[in-house]
Amino acid sequence: MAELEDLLRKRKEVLEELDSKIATYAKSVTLLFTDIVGSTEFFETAGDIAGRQMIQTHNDLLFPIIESYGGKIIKTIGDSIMASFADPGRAVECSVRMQEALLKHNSQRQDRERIRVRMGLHFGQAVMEERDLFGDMVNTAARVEATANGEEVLISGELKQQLSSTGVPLVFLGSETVKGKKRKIDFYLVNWNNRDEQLLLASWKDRHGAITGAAPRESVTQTPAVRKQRVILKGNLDLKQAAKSSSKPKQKGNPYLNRVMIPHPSMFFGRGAVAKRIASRICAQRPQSISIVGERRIGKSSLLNYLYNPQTRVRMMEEAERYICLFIDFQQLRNIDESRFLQLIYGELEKTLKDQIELELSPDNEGMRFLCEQITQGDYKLVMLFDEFESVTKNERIGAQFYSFLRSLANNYAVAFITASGRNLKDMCVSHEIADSPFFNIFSVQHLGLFRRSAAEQLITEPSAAAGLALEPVSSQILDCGGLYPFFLQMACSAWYEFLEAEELRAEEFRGKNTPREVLDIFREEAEPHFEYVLETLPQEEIQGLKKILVGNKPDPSAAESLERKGYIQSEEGSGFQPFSQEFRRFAARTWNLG
Amino acid sequence: MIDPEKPVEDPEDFYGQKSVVRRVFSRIGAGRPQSVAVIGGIKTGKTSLLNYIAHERTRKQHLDQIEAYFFCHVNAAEALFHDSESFLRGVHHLLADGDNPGGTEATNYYNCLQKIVEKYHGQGRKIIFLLDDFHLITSNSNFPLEFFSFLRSLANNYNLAYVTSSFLELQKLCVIKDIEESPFFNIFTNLSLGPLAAREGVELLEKLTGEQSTALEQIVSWCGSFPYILKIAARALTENQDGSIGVPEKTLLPVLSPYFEKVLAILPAEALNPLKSIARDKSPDLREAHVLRPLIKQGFLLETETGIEAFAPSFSAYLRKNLSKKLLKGSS
Repeated sequence: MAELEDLLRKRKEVLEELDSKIATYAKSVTLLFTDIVGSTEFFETAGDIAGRQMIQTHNDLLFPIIESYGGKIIKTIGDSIMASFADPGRAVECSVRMQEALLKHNSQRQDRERIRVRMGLHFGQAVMEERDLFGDMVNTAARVEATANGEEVLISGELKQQLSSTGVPLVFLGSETVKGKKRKIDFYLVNWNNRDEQLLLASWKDRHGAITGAAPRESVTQTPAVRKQRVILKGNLDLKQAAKSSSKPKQKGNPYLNRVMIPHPSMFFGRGAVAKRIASRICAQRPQSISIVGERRIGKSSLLNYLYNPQTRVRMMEEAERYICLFIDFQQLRNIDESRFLQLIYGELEKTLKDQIELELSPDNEGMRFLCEQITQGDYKLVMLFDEFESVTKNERIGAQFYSFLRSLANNYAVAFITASGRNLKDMCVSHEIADSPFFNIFSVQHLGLFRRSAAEQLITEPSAAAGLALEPVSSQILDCGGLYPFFLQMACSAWYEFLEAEELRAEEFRGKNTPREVLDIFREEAEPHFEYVLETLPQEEIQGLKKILVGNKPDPSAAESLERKGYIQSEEGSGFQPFSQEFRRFAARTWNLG
Repeated sequence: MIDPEKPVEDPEDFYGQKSVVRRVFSRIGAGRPQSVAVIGGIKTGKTSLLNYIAHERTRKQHLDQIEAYFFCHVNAAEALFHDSESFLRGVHHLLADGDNPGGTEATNYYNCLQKIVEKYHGQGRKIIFLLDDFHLITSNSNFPLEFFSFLRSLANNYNLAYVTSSFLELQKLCVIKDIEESPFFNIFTNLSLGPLAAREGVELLEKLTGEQSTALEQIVSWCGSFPYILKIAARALTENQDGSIGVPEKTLLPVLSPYFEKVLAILPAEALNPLKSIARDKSPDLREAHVLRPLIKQGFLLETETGIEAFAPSFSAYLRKNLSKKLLKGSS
């Protein structure tokens, strides 16, 4: 018994001695972590040398500031700095000074050269060994940093308690649990740049769901940041069922009364070859990105919608159920920021796949990358169809680095973009910097021009015959009016159909005869405002080219090429270039008094 | 008492324009409803036409499955929308009718309206917006490009169409260049609201005066067949003790002149010379005639094989007697 008591006493002495010795290694510190936002993409797009140079610039800028505030740089990990401070107040002041220095640096540089850093600080006990720090507080400090956005400084509640006054306002954002820790952390934002408090809180609320809303799962443990990302795809996509439910709108009366995007494949004519070409590129081993370029009303939106329709995909694409497609029309989304852009993608996926997908993603590069990674790992391919994409490239709120990020998605994952725009995307960018982005190099361009004659004839004959008032006998008169331009061709068909239906006549009675005045009136009433717009918006060089054609002279080759690509003239054997239709010729000649 | 200023509200009182009505309904009634822009000069009957289209009796007459349609009739002049938000809020209110899938606290009216349109679409219903005096919207700088893009997006994605009225093509009435170039306008078919057919004009005059005589035909022939002009003539006839009109140029021209003055006010000062030619019954020089195009589209000038002429002797007489530069836009 005495022996046992002796052993217990000795054990207590040893433990006390150990605690005492360990205490000499442990100390209270304020730890700062920093991380450059978007550095991975920068290395990928700008190359290793430029990437290394960027980190050197970052170090040269920040190291002296840390040292001047009494901080000690423990180590750097890639593009991150870990530094300790004895004085908590000086640590916070130092972080503000660092952000200010970065702001000044960035203000003199183009977007792609800017360095945006997130920072996190925490106070606690850490164990020091050979100039390094260990312990739970180090992990907590890292989590605080990872929760921040670029240009933000977050601090923990423990650090806040140590501050008497920082001289900068602190905004309490909320208490959250972070990965690997059961206890909640109080997050405060150091509002060094006087951001609107309400907006900060709203933004935090948005992010909060992404951070803590999902229970930790095996699939997310690989993400380095605190944010939990979750993508669950439930089994194969039932595209055949979707194709069946994509029903044709009930059509009655004039089948050519459609001036909006063609809603159903059965009503889509004349772009079969182009659609097949695009589908084959999407189905390449790594899906390819395509930029569809064409004048307004040439049928870009309708083509995108055709490709998006499940019926088309089932018919044209092998293993169509492995392709996850989404369609976004950016026409009304001209001022969105990058975060909203990504939220739109997530939203469309949820809308398209309904209960076949579960998403929990942060609306940032990290979340999007995780999504693409999961889709690729699941042996799916993501095809994003973006209509009116010039609304994005002209948007000042979307920076050059974001395009680099999109490019990295297409380069690294089974992801493709199919965009539609009025002109080449590079010519429609808000800045030279964006226009120079290698993002645009991933696209092959598909120009959309006039119909082929066979396609035009199909459009004239098939819908009218199905509706019971065949227009085939007046095909040549219709082509004189509308030419091979799908929008105007449809108008010409519509005018004829309307006239014949109202007068209770058959097209056969007009075979080989002149177009009746009533038909011309209907056609002109609808087409002429569009002709007028075309003539008013053509560049001067093309106006001169078109004028020369109207008076029988040869146009300048570059003007002719441009006009032909846009579909306003066509080359005819034996007679050179001609306006795309007789009615367009007549209108242009009258407008310009060219007899 | 004939009040020419008052738009027609009862379908029974609406005369003519059969072709325009048929064409509007053929577009509204298409499998996927299509949008129409009704274009007509001042007092040519645009509001009356929209009232006629909106009336339940007319709709029943021209549309199958009437219960599938929801007509949302908005007069921009009366509603005084000062910005896109007030417009969307007003329209949302009409559609919501107590139900609010967009959420009562939501302040993003774009989302709110889209949700309610989506709901209608899901129920297989079609929404037709009748937007009278829509030029008041396109010419208001408080309606941004996003607003028009949004309207186009609704028409592209749902069973929804717009029937607008304006005194010129909507593109011509935009204050912001971007909006003028917006593909929103591509979704419309323009339909011009010109004068009535001559026979319809005589019938209208007969109904208004309660008379039937060859003199009425002569009056219509001199005045032309715009309903507003005929109502002014009918009022003059009924107010005259002996029911006759005498020499129209002396009796009717003075009462029509204020109206013709307003008609001319949309033309620029450069229109003076070509108008002078028309006043002298000569076709204007084609190099100058393009400035007259707005009046050709509105039906006050006619383009014939030989040139351009006034739509009726009344307008020729007005030009002959009153034409001066100060009547034209931008002149003082």
